[in-house]
Amino acid sequence: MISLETITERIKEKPIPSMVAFQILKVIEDENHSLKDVVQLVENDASLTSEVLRMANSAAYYRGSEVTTINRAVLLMGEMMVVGVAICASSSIVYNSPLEGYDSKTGDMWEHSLRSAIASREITKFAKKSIPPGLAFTAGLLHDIGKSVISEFLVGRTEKMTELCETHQVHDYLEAEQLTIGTDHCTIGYELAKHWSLPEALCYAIRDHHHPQHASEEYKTLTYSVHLGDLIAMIGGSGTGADSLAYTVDNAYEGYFDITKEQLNKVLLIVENDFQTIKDILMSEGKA
Amino acid sequence: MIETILVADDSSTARMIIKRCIEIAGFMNASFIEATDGKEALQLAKENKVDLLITDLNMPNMDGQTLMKHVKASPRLHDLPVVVISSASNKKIETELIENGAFAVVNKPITPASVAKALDNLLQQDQWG
Repeated sequence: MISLETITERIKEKPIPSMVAFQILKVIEDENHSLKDVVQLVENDASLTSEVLRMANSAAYYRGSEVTTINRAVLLMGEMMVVGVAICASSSIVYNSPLEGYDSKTGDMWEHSLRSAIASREITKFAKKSIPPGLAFTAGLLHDIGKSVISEFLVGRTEKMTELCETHQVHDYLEAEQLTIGTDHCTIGYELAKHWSLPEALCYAIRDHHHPQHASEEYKTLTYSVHLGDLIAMIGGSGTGADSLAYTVDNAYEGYFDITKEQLNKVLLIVENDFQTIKDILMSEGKA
Repeated sequence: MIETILVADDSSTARMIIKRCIEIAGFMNASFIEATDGKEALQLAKENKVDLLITDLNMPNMDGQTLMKHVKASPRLHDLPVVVISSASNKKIETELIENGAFAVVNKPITPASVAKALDNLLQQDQWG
């Protein structure tokens, strides 16, 4: 078992991704905020400004004419997508480091998170109770941040954990983590999210994404979106190593979404398509 | 009927993902034998009754292509269906592998859907052949 103090120290060591991202999150939490507040925050950060404009002019968003102002770019992409861009662009320590404890190579975490984010966003289109797609995108992007903290404590124990799953001694990989180090990536992700002062909705979606039935009613739709988004990314071949496909689907999602198996398959295709588009943009700039 | 599957890959994580994909694809009752390289896989194929060999191409000691050549040259193993996992999504390489005796080529990343397609085709052929 790893002591809570040791893990808490590691959480404190994780640099906060981007102050701007969280400032925007705070602003948009207020229902009465204006677009001008968000635009101003983006414009105050030169690298984020260029990143947002680049995304807005990419094939994923291009609408026939060049986007030259942040005002138009934010309108086009949505505020939460801008937050997502800011988090990803400034968190290479979380997204571009190998997760050795999961036997996962550099880039896997980024790819899995981005695919989960796209899938979570797409799933919201079928929600019985409407939630902002951008919020689901950001929650999908962040859902596995706990792995970046606990990975080092799992090094050398991966095969044993896999064996626990294969011999059905545990229900899923989350339980294998708990049995091995006394905690899991959801719990630690939640602690990291709190340390970063993320909005409550994101903290709880991170904490409950493998057990969405535990989420409060207020956050159930969001948490189930991330739960399904995560599984869709894995089913599409993108996981983070040893825990890939080692979780079960909570079928109670049917109470929160009107979605058929065929529509889920369509989401898989959209994820692949959107992911390749975004990846091509980043690769062309040498950023992925 | 696919009862016993021999999975050859030098990465234990990759072997495990292959097994999970096969199970999710609906082959819940299949049992697995694992090999960490081509040499071990060939030995295990000779010693056991195996219904299917799934192999990676890049492995130490003996790679997947050499393994397949040995399997196809063996009178006892000649009919063992071989599914090759390839990291190159290249039609030419795929054609070459099929010409050399692979039943199917599954490109990485391996998914339950791609495994299901290969195994369903195998079962259909089995039914008619």
